[in-house]
Amino acid sequence: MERRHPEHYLDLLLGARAGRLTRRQVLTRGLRLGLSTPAILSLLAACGQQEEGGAAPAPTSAPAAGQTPAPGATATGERRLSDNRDFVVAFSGGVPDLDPQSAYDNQASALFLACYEMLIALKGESTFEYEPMLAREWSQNDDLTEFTFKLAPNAKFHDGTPCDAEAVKASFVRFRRMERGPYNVISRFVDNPEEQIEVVDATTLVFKMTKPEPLFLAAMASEYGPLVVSPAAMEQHKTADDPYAHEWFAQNIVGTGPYKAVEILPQERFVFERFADYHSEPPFFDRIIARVVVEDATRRQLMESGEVHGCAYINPEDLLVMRDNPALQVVEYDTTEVDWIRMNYAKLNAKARQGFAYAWPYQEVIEQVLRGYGKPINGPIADTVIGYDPSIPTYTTDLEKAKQLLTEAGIREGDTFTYMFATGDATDSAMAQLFQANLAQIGITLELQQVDRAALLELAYGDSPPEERPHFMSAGWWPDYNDSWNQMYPNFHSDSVGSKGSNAMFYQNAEFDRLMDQLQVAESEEEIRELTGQIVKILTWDDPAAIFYAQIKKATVLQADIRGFTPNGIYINSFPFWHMWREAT
Amino acid sequence: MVLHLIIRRLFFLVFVLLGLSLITFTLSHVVPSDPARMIAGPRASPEAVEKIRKDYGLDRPLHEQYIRYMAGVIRLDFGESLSSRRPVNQDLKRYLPATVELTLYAMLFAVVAGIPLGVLSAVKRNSLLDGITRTISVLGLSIPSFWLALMLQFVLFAQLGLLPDGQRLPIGVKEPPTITTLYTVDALLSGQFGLFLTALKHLAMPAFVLGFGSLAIVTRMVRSGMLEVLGQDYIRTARAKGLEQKTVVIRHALKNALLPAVTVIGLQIGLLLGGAVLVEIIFSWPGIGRYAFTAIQNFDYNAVISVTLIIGFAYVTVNLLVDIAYVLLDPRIRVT
Repeated sequence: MERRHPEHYLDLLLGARAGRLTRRQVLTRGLRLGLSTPAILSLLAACGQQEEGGAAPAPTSAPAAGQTPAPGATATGERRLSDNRDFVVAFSGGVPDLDPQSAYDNQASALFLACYEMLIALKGESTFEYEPMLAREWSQNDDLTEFTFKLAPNAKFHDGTPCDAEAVKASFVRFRRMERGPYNVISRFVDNPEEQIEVVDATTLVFKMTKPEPLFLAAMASEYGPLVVSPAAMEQHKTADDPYAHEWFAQNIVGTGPYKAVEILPQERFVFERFADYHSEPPFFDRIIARVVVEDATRRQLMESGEVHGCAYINPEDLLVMRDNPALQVVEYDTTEVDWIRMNYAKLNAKARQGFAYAWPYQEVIEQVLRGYGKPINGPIADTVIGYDPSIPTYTTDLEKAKQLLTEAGIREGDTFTYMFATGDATDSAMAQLFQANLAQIGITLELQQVDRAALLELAYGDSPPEERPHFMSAGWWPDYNDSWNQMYPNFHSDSVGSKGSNAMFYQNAEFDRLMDQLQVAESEEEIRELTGQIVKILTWDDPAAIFYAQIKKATVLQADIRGFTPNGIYINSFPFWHMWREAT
Repeated sequence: MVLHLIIRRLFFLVFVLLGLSLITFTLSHVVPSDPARMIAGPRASPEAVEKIRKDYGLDRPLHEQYIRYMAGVIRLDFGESLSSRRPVNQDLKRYLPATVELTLYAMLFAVVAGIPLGVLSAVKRNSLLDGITRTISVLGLSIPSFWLALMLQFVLFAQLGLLPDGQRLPIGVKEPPTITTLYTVDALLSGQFGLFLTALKHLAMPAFVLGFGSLAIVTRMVRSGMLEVLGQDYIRTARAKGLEQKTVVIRHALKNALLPAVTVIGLQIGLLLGGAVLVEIIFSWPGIGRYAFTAIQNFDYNAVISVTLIIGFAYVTVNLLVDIAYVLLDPRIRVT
């Protein structure tokens, strides 16, 4: 736990002003000291400008270290641009649903960032600063009940129709009313879009809330859902059975993004070409090609051979080798994903769950199983999400304490518990074995049950009672946007048990529910921080729901000549295509 | 007689396909799974999942789902794929030709290389050549195709850059006009020789890997058949008549030794059609094997059953062709 002496604040302030600290360091230290977002933002503004402009973070293995001027620039500051204007990215699976207001998976959202746009996007690595996307400017009133967006005046959809305020409103009405996939990103704030979204003029749009909404901008920057689709295309392709033309949008792309789809083969590849009528500065790459490469080893070979220029789906074992390859850069970053082991609430009492949390092999899992692609965390909220409370202690392995708590819980030596995981899941299998070994040391038997992935999913998301479920199952989650409620509600609220959500172990704590319901309607950031802290304390210490073992670190591999890539902990595995470029070599 | 054979086999084919569909449908639904949840994703709300379930008719009783599906199959409508969100027909139209072309080239390689190797190995029994051929046969039977695929990809693509990593054509290269749906054939028919060579280059590695196991089997079958035939009296007689070795081997021995090999070749085509999954995954080959893999992962019942039916149909048809070939190759065989 960080001690909060005044000199820490001073050191942070001076470091930021002098440019000694990077934006990431300012952010991390600010959060640790419990500063509010506005305070951190002002510090970031004071921070040195070395990371401005979306430049790539120092790659861990790029050969450009120590260069002056900065990579890609000449002595006059001009960028040395490559003539190769194709960027090929490898995905690990196809993207069957191309409707951005329906698709709810990671690869789809990564693809959408090439061709669709939100109103605003998260800026660089920050999880609470924004930059323009379709909206050039935005503002809100003092009580956070009205949010005004000024759109790019010349924005057009790929079908040639104008993207004005009416079109954006129509797109949001579709998103809310269609009620598919990620629609709760909008429904939490806008229940009646026809009334709540007001078109002021051709380029001005106002979202009117029914109460103060401190997280509305965060939701608007989510890559899940609030992407703007062409209402003209919807009108043209809608049918009586499909009034929002979902079936058509599931196979076609008409957005306002910097790239326009020219070839769509959902299980093979997507080819995008630069959109000539793009409303902002044209991106560097002429084409973005997304290839579906299912096999892990093939993706690695494609990266190493230079055939593919970027990939976010590389095994940790391969990453360790690729770090040493001077032709590649491995950009590592902390995500907002937290992974945990669900504990069966009906079968294990609070003391037992605390005991098991002490028996978990935290360090071994992070070092040996995750290969360093994770760090200890004190609950389900990552340290870059609003509401993270560094004052909450983090569990560490303590078998004596575990034994004491398990004994107090009525568990005797020789008692058997079950840990279920999917056949072929090497990570889960390794973690389970390490946990099993720890428990064996205190006389507890952990039975490992491997089941087919389908059966595991059915068990997790089905309606079987908790008594028929194992004692332990793994899970992981990251929020759709910077929101602690969005992270915890589907996983731990009693409204989300069984098939109603992801609360697969039937966690049901009345106090937790009460605080969560308050958190949902919190009207200020301070309230969110306060409530999240209390909730996380319940989830981890008072009445543990799970063993929160790591905040996940990810890596994106790029060819060494790629610049402008900035990872973001919320846009996991995505690429800011519009900022990226290739340096001439 | 041959016509009688064809009619009878086609009659039985209906029952084979019906049985296949029933077994596949039952097995698919016995596995506890929720395709609607898979489509919606783990984050989707229960309402969103329910909407998908209703849209795709997954909320109806099982027997009703099966009857609806089979009624569609009779009209050659395989329903909609849950994972690609398109009609399965449309998917099969795209992916099946890729697998057929890959299988044909794999088989072509196995036959063109396997028969001469088998013949030479038998004729030069216990020679160095025979030893090499037998080693190749053992390797072909024992090396797992995924390992061979990864190794070849590593050496020929990643290290030497001699062949592309996979796919039917490079990105950006226009497909030939559709005539037969086989790229190499269509490229030749439309006079695009360069495109033919490009497509052939892309086929080389996956076809070699897929055909390597069959090559081993064909070689062994031909070798053993030839060894048996070469010891027959009529071969000795032919030699005694002063016929050239080439004539004895090709005209007299090979024709008879090929009979068992024909059966194996037929069976191999069926096996390769259904067994190209790993090769297609590693080489990013857009065939029905890869399609089936994705479908299975997503509990895409319509796609899984359709692929099973297609492969079953192909298998039965190839067997029928083998039987016909048997009759034509050996007039002593009577259709019963």
